[in-house]
Amino acid sequence: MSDSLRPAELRELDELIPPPMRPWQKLLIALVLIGLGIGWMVLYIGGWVVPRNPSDGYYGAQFHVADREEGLLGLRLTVPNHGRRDLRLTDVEFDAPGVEVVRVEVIDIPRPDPVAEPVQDGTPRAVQPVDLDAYYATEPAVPFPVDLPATDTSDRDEDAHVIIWLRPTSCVDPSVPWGKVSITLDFGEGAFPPLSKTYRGEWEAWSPGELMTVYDGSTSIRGEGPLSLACEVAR
Amino acid sequence: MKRFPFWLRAATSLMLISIALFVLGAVFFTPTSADRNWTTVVLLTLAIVLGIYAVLALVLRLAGIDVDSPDLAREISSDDPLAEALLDRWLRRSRYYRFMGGFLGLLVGLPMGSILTATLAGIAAGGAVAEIHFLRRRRSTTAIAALRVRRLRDYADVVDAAAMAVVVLGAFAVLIVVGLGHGSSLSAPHALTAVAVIVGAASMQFFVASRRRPAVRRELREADDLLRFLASTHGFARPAIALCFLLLGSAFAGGDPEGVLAGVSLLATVTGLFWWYRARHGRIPALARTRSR
Repeated sequence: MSDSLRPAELRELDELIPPPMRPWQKLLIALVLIGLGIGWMVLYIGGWVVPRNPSDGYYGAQFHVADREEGLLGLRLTVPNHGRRDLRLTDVEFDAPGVEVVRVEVIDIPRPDPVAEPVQDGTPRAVQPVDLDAYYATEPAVPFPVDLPATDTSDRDEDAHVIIWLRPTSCVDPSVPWGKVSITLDFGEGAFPPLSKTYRGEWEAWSPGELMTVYDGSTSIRGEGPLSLACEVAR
Repeated sequence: MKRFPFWLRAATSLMLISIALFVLGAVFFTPTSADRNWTTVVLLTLAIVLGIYAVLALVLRLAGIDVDSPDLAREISSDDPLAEALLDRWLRRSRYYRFMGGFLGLLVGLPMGSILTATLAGIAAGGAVAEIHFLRRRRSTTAIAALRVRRLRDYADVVDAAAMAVVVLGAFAVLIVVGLGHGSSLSAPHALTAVAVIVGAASMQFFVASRRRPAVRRELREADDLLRFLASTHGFARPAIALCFLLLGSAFAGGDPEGVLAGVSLLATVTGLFWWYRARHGRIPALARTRSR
């Protein structure tokens, strides 16, 4: 369309809107911008920009162990770092009325090898034996921050397993609901960018009326909800 | 009737994407037994052809080849060829910047899980960047300037302005909700971002309205007025408003997942999606007609 215009008319247009760039110039700019966009994607997914892991969260909080002697319920948090950059777990917060935190420990659980069960109905089934002793940490309480080294997605050995030992303070209304669990991650002291990110997760799935079970190494303990469970353990 | 080619092109694109997905699915799920090899070869060939078509279409778009702009310019301009050329030039520029902004926003938002908001932010930013050419303007060869007073309200849409006011009020409502102990940790940042986006969009509208213009003949002046109006509404304000409503939607959503705030969140999100529809390219002729009335 502009080809049919006289130079004076084109100058008039140029006064109002700049002359268009050539297609190769536009393509070059587009490729540079797309390169930047893809670079951002790689950095973000690799966990270089914001502390993150592939699930953009963690695997939730589970009531895994109980210590009957001390009357404590152990809440286990598995915090993976599948990014390509070392992280720190700087804080764990949770809304759990009726209990107090006695201590926080970081434990090292070796990844068990799958063991093949006898063939049933022609289909072999792989199971993972659970070594309960591993959940009872002998290490002293580890204060935050906890280092989370970068690891490969196929290797879960480096996940941080945090056990929070809880003691009930009031068992008057054991059906009181609990809120969410939050963990906060950062890149470490003096690292760039100086960002931290908080992820919120759910407690172990539980619906009212349903029994929760925890194993103390010899027997199963049941309770109608998390606080009820803690009270049963403390009894 | 003039809208028909637009719908035809959209339908063709959708059809091609559907065929491509079907073919790719068929290729990956077709058994590789010997008696079905010919099916795989045919489908694979079709998939490659469609893939090449898609890549070529994207490359042409990235190079700024815009086949729709001349038709759109013809539809919204007067019969003056110079005015039509001006609108065509603006449409090519604005649509290219908006497309690039949206594409970049898509790439940025994809890993963050916020594709729609990031794409809208990119479109709005692209539309705004397309209008800041006055910052690098060359020395004018025209010695006469047009002294006619141009006001912001001559170029802004009343409904858009009302929506911008609603966004600001909504953002204050979010802050009150957060102050009352509801809302998530992202509610306040989302609300403040929405206010910042509205302030930025309103400032850009002011710059577009007040940008200098040499004395040109009436047809060109009218076309310039129309493109300023389109820039101030379709170009960046409407995508920005859509973005802000979506931000408010997510800000309210963190407050009370099952109560009244959830309803407010849904309303804000639906409003955002409606404004996104209003910001589409296909709406340009209708928008231009509202200006000419």
